[in-house]
Amino acid sequence: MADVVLRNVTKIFERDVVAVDNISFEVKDKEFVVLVGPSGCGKSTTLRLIAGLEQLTEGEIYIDGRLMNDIPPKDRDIAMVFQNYALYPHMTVYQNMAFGLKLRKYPKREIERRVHEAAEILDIGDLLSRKPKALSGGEKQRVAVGRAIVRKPKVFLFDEPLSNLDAKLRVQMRAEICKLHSRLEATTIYVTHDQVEAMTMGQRIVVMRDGVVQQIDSPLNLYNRPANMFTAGFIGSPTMNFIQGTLSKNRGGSLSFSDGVIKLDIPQRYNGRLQGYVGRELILGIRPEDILNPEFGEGAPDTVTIWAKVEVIEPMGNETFLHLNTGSTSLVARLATTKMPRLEEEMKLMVDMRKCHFFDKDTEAALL
Amino acid sequence: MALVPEVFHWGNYLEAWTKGNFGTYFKNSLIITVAALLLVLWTTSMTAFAVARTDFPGRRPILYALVTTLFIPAEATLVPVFHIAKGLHLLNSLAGIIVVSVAGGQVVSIYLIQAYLRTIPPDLDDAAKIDGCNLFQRYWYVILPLAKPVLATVAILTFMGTWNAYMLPLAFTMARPELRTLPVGLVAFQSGFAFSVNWPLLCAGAAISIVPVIALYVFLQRYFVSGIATAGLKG
Repeated sequence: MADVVLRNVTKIFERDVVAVDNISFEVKDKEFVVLVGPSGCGKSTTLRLIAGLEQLTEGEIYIDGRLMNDIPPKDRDIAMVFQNYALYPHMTVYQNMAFGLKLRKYPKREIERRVHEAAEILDIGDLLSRKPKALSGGEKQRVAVGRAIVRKPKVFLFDEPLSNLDAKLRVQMRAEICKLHSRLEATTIYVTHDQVEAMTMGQRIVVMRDGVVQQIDSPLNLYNRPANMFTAGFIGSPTMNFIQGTLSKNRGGSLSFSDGVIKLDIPQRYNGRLQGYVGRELILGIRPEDILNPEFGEGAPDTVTIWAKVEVIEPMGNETFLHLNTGSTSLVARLATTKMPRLEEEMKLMVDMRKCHFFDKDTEAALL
Repeated sequence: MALVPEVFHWGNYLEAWTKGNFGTYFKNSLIITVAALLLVLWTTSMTAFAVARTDFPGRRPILYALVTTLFIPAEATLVPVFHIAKGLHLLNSLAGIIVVSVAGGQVVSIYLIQAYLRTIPPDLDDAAKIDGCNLFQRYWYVILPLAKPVLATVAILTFMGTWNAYMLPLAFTMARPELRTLPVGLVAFQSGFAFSVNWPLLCAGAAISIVPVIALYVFLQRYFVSGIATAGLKG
């Protein structure tokens, strides 16, 4: 297995469309890294650059210490699983899995051994004589993974492999890919637009937007300490609430944030880092789960009370999402399903200010 | 007169085959058609693959230039083609007819095949590249087997066009009647009798000439239909 290094990688398509803009990161040997971002952010292009399916405009890509810029895909010792499976329709499952080995002139017996070994791992042994059109979506995905693992490549590349599966199968395949990674200990780069997939699968996550890397970190660090508003909004579901307001200094020296309707006292320990923003506009970020029911939040340190009208109630069973309006801004709160409010009811809630985030209004960078 | 004859005279077929020279004409037609068919399938599928599945500068202008030639009627090119063939010493030979037939069958076939190839998902090329295919292997192992329906369509169109061609084989076999093809032979057979055409032999010859076309159509019908249907979807 091998590490993958991207150095100042840029890809510009025809008509000066910049798909990837000067990105650099490293994927360590045996690591599982997820590239995540919205459609058009350049994550799939980055993966295709690593695979050699696209030509770099600038920069360098190394696999296992070897410069790959001009090496064709077949000589990069990588395997890729595609969103649409990309199984050859005219070949059986066995032939699909054996094709890469056959082209590399492996002995027939070795091909047989590897295909059956992979089929056993993926539990597709009884599908080997079938053509892809006779397989379900989940089975096709397994075969696509099987085709990748028979080659025992240095690096596995996954391009949104679960997007075409239904929700239940997606969860199941997610776990299976994770198990497979632990078993094979292969360097893996996985592309998805689904932040849940990214959070649950990646050891590290690379968040991308408009061809630029926004943040690279572990899933929990991304969630708890987003570097900017984009990452804060992209990671987490329901998404983080953002309130634009002004920072002011109280008589006692403490700081408060106000958007004109609600006023929130800021914990003393943030004073140092926010001092320079007094009198200026900035953005406050609050995760839906940090807006609490008074019965759980009242009296807790660094919590402040707000009042908001309930506009939409979304019961999820174990929890409920409330869409609220404070009079100046809309918020989403994630509350435990206890006593439910009525629609249009004015509701008292507590905001846990220890977990709040502040962002510069212009640069969108995190301030805490 | 009856639609179905009361007595079948199978001897007419044997007589047409031997005395009417239809055996020779049939052999000539078969050599020309099979050779032209294989060459057209080989060359046009490769060109269509290059146009539809690879990226090179000038790809679209080349396709448009090819398609533009469809507006020139074959009759208009007969004289220049004849002159060129004469210069290349291709007249009065089966090879000459084959070369000109192959050249003439290119554009429609390329257009049909490339339109079909564009409907094959590009991920398959990417998967093939990663699996280790070079350009030719991608064409041979991945794209060509998937193009069977449109290749069958092109095969039928080429077969029928070449098998039934009259002007070109006529012009190319003037000096050597033994190289005549079935359509040329049939007309020559008909005009060989000033006042009394031997209708039984002529009809037997005509029946012989349509047998391969019907056989091919029956054999490739399912591909023919799906090929035309899909080739028309996207272009």
